[in-house]
Amino acid sequence: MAKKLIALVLGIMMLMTVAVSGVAEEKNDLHIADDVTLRFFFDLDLAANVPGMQNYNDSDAYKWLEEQTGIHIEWIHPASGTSREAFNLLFASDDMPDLIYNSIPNGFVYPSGHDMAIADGVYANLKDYEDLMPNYMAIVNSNEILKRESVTDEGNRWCFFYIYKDGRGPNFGPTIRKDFLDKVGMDLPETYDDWHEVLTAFKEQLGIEIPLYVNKDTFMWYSEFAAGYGVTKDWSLNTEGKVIYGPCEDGYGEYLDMMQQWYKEGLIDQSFSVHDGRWPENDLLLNDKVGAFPVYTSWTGHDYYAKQGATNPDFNLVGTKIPVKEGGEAHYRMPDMLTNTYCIAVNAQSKHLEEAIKWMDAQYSEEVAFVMNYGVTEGKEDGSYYFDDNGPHWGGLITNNPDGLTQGQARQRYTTNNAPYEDYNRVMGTWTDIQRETQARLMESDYSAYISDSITMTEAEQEEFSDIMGDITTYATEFTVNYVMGNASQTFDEFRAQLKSMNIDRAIELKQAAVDRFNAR
Amino acid sequence: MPVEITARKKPFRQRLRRDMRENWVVYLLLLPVIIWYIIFCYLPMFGIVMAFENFKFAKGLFGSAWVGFKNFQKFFSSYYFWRLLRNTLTLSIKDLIIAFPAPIIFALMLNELRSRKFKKSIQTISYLPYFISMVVVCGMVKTFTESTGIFSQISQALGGPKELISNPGSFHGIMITSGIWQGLGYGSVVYISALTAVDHELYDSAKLDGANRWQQTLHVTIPGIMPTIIIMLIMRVGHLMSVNYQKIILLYSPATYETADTISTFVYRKGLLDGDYAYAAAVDLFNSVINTILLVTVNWISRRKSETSLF
Repeated sequence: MAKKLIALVLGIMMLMTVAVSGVAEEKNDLHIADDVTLRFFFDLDLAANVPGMQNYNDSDAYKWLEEQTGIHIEWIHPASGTSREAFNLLFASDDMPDLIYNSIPNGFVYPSGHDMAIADGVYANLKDYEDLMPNYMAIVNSNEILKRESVTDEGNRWCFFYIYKDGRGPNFGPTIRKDFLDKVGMDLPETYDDWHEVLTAFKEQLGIEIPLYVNKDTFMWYSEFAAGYGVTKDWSLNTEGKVIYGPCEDGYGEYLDMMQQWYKEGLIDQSFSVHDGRWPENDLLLNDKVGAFPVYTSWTGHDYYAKQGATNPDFNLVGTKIPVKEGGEAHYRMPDMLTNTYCIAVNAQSKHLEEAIKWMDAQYSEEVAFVMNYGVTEGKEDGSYYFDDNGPHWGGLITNNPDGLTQGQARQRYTTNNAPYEDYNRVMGTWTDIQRETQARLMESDYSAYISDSITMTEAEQEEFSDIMGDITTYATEFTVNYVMGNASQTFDEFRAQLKSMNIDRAIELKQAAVDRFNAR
Repeated sequence: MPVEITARKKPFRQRLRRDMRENWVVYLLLLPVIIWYIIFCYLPMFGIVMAFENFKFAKGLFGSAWVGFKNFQKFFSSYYFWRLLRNTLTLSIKDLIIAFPAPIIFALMLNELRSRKFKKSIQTISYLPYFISMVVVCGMVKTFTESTGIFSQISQALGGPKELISNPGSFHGIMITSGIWQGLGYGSVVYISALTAVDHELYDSAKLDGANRWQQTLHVTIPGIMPTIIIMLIMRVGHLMSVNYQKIILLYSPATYETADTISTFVYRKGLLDGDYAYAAAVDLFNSVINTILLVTVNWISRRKSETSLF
């Protein structure tokens, strides 16, 4: 009797085990490891930007990911303004995080280059772990440009790029206040002459303090206003596909003369040399003191700035084309439209190297990518996403947040600000007609001036290049700002001669060689 | 008799030990300061090695290749070398001439006040700016000197530059004036305390000799606080090359680099922003060497001339 009882109990226990493990297996599709904590350096000051968030563990998407993978992430978010310093200091410390955010255009890169980061044993060479990252590899291999961009000249794979699922169109450009235009009875400006007329009218008829806002560091972020002269503030490809350094070109001189004229007439921000922001501060903008400035397409229209506190009910921002000379064409650059600038490297010394790679790779799978893009709660009004015939869309939690979060804040709270495998439709799906038209206008320009961020130089080349450019960059910015303000002690030709004597030709040669190697990859 | 005195004096070690036993609380208070100096001033000095290396993070201080004076040569042949040196020196010297005497004059003026209540309130008010964070002060300075700011408006009305903060010619003026405004009260504390130590009998005898207040100041007060002034001057000269770079970084812009970019700000940009640590270390070492030379020279001159010196 006792034996039977024991057998029965054992039998039931076995059944239960099977049942439990069955459930576990089903749930553990994405499971990577238990009790593993990865440290992730990521440049995003969430605590300062989103009410109620300290780091990404407060985001629904990453909470979900932790449940699924079993991996806990300890986020290291540097305070904004000190992030470049924090990044550089990572390499000097003995305590490198497992995952490290890089961004080439923003200067978050290992100082002596990607290949050296691998040779120095700092970043893991992901080429050796491709079997651990099937999702990422499948995406990269599906596109010729991505294939080239994701490796160095030496064929090293140094990071996980943040990729746009189907690419994205241009999303940043010059914008102007439509309500002001209507008041002065003018159309959207297209040529520089149009712009001059419009800005003058803003100034004289409406008394706008800053008809066009520009910024000191970038003097227009992507050089929107220089594109019509075929140049940018630094590196780009000319119409023949050759590398040029903008300030060395004739077009740059014309551009500066125009800006100087506009500055003198009070058409551009009189304090641009001390203003840090890429776009105007809210107290200027929301109080109708700014007529035009370059900004994200998503921020055009009325609603975005109404949420920021614009009290003028007529506030309406619309995008224009990239300005051109009469009868000319803009040769413009926009950052890569296939990848985001973010790129996550894995610490070669990490104790959890494989887990870190698997965790990153998981985010490129369809299932996880969906959550990263759209969050976890379904519902048109009160969820973070819903489906209709056109596919998924952001729900009311994000587009019309009940707690008063802006769309930008809500997407960080419920999804991620930038998903590793981002579906840009999630953003475009929320666009109004004004925003769609804005993008359509931007798309009329030619974007072939862009040099891929992924070109690489050898360590020696890199050193020579930064030695030359270290002084030149300061010099060129300084001259540009002073020339526009009418304070320059040199003429444009003297400036160009000075650039030559500072060895700019050698720097162009190095850049050209890197571009050629990139094209040959 | 000198021979007897030296004979009675015990060796330094024994005296120190005894002193420590008797005054251990005082030594305990000193301890954190000593630790602070070791950790933050002496240990980091080993980092100087970096200036002579092609420093690489991965290879570390001991593994990086030795390049001798290459980093220094790079700096001396840099397009900006002379400008940086000129700006550092002119800004510092102007500051020394204008801002150094300000708290002394202020202390002397306060000393002449008879109403205690008035004196105390002036002192408190003049201290206040010192406790405002540098970032906030610079934000205020920027606002006041932008094209729409009050000082720029005044300058425009008088036919001066349209915008002060972006005008290279007014940058040093802005730095020094705002520095005086912020540091005047706090800087005068040391002189005010020195003034209280001046013997009152000296004033009485000066009065008997028929000296008026100006003559009393000239012949009693100033000689009385002269040792303090000289020590402060030597210390100030020791900092001559280390301009207040945080403030410059908060106030300068490419438009004013011409007069505002100094060695320290250059080091900040090269080291912390561009991550070129070896180069930045070399430039900073050059700065420190000049500083040390200045300090020793001034100390030597002062010892010869006035018998007051730091060492």
